Amino acid sequence: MEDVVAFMEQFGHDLNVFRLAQMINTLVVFGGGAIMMSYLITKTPFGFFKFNSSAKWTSLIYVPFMMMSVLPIAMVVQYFISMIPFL
Amino acid sequence: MQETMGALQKGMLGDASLSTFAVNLVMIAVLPAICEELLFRGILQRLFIRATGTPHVGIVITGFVFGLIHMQIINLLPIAILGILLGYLYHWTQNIWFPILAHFFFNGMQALGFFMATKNESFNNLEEMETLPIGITLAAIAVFAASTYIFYSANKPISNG
Repeated sequence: MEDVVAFMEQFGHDLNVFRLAQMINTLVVFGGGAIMMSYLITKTPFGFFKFNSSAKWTSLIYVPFMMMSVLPIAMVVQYFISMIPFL
Repeated sequence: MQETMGALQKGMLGDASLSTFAVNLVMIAVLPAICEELLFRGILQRLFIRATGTPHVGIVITGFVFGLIHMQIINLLPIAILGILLGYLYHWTQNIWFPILAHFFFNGMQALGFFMATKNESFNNLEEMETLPIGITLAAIAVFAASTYIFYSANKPISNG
């Protein structure tokens, strides 16, 4: 936590600026970029994305289990990676 | 670089107020879930699948690009694993809302975890843990395998990229 404390002492007053910058970055770079690419490919803003209506919406109930159980697996992977000395 | 990114993220998330939590939820869960999924799964994954001709290779490449864009070398593989899972959700369902909702759930859990850590000391200890006990890890692998298989079975794969 020392790195957070040091960071907050130095930049704590600018956090809202960072938040706003990150939101704009996400919206413009990722969202805007995706819609622009979709438009360039299909001539419609959302034409390249698939919204298959026959997908089983009831299967969404398994998604939280998948996402929660992938976290410990990722932690194990990260633990072994952090043992690599030069990282 | 990655230390600064981590400290910045922790600094922004580590606030006890409910209003800040709501802002953080929009910042790290709602917007990234929609925008990143549109770009990575919606555009890049389909383009990589077209380019390679193999869905699995396209999904894995997209997963690693997804990991690289987060600019944290130590977290590259875990984020890539998450990206690959989100990629398969899109590939199996052919519906972009599935990876968007999954991504929102995953990031929302992290935002909630940081919020709880500021409220409760015992949650703070979780962050210090390098890895979970082997029993929990094995249980997680079993739950992951079972839930993924059931999800896969429920949505017949359509592999037209």
